[in-house]
Amino acid sequence: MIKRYGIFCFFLLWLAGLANAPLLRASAALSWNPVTQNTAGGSVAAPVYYYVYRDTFPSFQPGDATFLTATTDTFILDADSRLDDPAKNLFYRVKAVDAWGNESDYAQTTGEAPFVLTGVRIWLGSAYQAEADSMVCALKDLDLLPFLSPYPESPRHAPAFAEPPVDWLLVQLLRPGDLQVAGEKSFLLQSDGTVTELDGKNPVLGIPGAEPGLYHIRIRHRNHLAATTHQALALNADNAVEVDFRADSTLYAAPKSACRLGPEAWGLWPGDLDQDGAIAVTDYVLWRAHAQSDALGYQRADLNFDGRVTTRDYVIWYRNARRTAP
Amino acid sequence: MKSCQPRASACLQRPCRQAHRSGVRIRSLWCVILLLCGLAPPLAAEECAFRLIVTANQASVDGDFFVDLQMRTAEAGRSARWLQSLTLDVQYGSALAAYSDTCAVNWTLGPGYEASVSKLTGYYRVLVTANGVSGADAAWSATSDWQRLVTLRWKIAAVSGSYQVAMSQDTDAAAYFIDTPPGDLAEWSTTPIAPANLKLAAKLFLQGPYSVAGDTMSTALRNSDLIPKTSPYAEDRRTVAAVPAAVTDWLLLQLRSSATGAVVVSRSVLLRKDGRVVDDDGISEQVIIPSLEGEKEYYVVARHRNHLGVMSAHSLTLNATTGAEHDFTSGADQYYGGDGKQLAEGLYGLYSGDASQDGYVNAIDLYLYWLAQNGQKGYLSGDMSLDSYVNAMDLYLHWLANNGVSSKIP
Repeated sequence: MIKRYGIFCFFLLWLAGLANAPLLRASAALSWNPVTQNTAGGSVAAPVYYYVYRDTFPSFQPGDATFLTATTDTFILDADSRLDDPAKNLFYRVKAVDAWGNESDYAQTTGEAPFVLTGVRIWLGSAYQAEADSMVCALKDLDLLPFLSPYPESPRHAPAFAEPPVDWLLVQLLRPGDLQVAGEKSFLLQSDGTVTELDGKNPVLGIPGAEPGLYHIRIRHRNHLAATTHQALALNADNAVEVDFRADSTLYAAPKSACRLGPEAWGLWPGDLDQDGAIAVTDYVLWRAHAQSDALGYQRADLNFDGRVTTRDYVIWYRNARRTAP
Repeated sequence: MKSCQPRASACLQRPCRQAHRSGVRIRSLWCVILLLCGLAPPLAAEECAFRLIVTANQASVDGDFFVDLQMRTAEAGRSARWLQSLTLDVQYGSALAAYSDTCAVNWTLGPGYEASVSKLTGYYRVLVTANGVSGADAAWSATSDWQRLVTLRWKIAAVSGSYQVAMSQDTDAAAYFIDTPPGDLAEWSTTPIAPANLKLAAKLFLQGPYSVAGDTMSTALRNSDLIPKTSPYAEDRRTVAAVPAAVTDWLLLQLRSSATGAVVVSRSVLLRKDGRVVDDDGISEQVIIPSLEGEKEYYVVARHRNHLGVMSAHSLTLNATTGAEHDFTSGADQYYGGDGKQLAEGLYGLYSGDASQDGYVNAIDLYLYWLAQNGQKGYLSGDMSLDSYVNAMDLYLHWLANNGVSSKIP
């Protein structure tokens, strides 16, 4: 039985990806200061074990699924194959346990890559059902939702879907000055509008590559017009700033870029198949090409998420044609 | 009802937080509006229907099999609707092959429509959109009358009594212009007419084996075990495990949508000595005929291998539940063209003698069949009396008596 004491001070020193020449593969070396005192200033009972956890996003919840190793050393070398991919990041959390089972808190510092945290809630216009105040999950029910994100900018892979998501979303951070992308990542959209990590539960979204600062948050979906916050928000790595696009059209960068779905419901306009920021004839051309060739599947022309490209999707495009979003 | 709790970010100031009282009033107004809406009867979507009609069936390998795709609005009396778009998958079985040339012809749409039929694995996808349509004159109007949209074409890969062609229930969808094109649009609630296993009870006598004395037909072929287990009709070579007792011979039933239309389906059935068309067990007097055109009116054609074919005088409403009955024995007026062979007072049947099955009793039947088979015993076309022997009785009582008569099937 492990007693929770919360007595240890703990510091993660550094994390770095190092090229390991003999193995010809990237690795990460982690080290930390040893824990010698409890919170009352007394000595800890040796030996002290350090439990190391690993996942693909910051602020993850350590558990059996993310457990990496337990060691009495204050150093590990991780050679996970994902480190070979420069587009991917791994994040680590460590806690200490003494001989009596007293546990430290988890270390908050997680890696060398800068990141910020946010939280997003949003409706997709063609998936939202006003009666239920939620979105349909037909693609998941039909087993058509892919485990690989459809956004090449952030090709994440979900091992499974614990909760039935509506679809994948891409969250982007734009610099206020030039509106260039400072960081972006694929996440899952749940039926209640919450954007979550791949576990389907964690609403804290860590966006790597962005230093704490002011950013516009842009939400992209593969066949809807994007939504961007009107204001730049101050994001940091400690607290997730939540943005709820569902109930306030003033959050959107342009008044007409919010699709009204009900008296108090707002979301993304469906119809931008080619993701050029406008619902136009080019989207119709894409729809028609899909409609002529495909029957059942995960297709961007399937605007109503029923797994098929039909006139029902065309009607959605027709009604929203000529709309644009910044 | 949605929650009144604000959902805004902790770092964003939202107007509804500051104007709480006015927000409550607005939400109360919405509640009243929604309540009133809830009391009103729901608006029912307008309906349209699709169906397939066979227009060509050459019943031979590499022959043509054509089907018209038709549509109509479901409610009579409603004003015409301008078709805006539709998608529909038409699936087909392995007895048919995609047409190597253009698989869709005879479009009835006007200018401004983009229409195509894609040849996909196992199905054709029909796709229509009206992005270029402007003005009522250019638009295709759907009414409560069936109208052809396009003719779909296949080649016959293997001859079959009933070809499997069906519209997908998953991908059918259509929309119409609410206003004059190009205006706003609405979706139809679509209904593709599904194939059906139709039930039919029929009664007919063949002149050849019919005996006035017993008011039945001969079962001499069955008694001599000469009736094959596999139907002799190329249009539907079905096989039964055993030919039941009291069966006179095989018969071919065919259904047509119109008197002059193509054969929708051919079905080999057994003809019992009492004139009843029966199922394979020889007992059930309702036969099942699978039709891709579903439940509707059909003309019923009956053919026998050495009698003149006949067709019902009028169309019958066939369905998959109750079944319809047609009695060819009860009068000449039961025959298309009003010409059955009178077998007794008030009793009619099929003329014997057409061994060649060309619709005529003539010298071809005499020379190529009767004369060639005269003196033989067996399951032979020259045996017009169906007593298993080809002899003078077939010549004098059947061929000679009916020479010059022809079928009235158009």
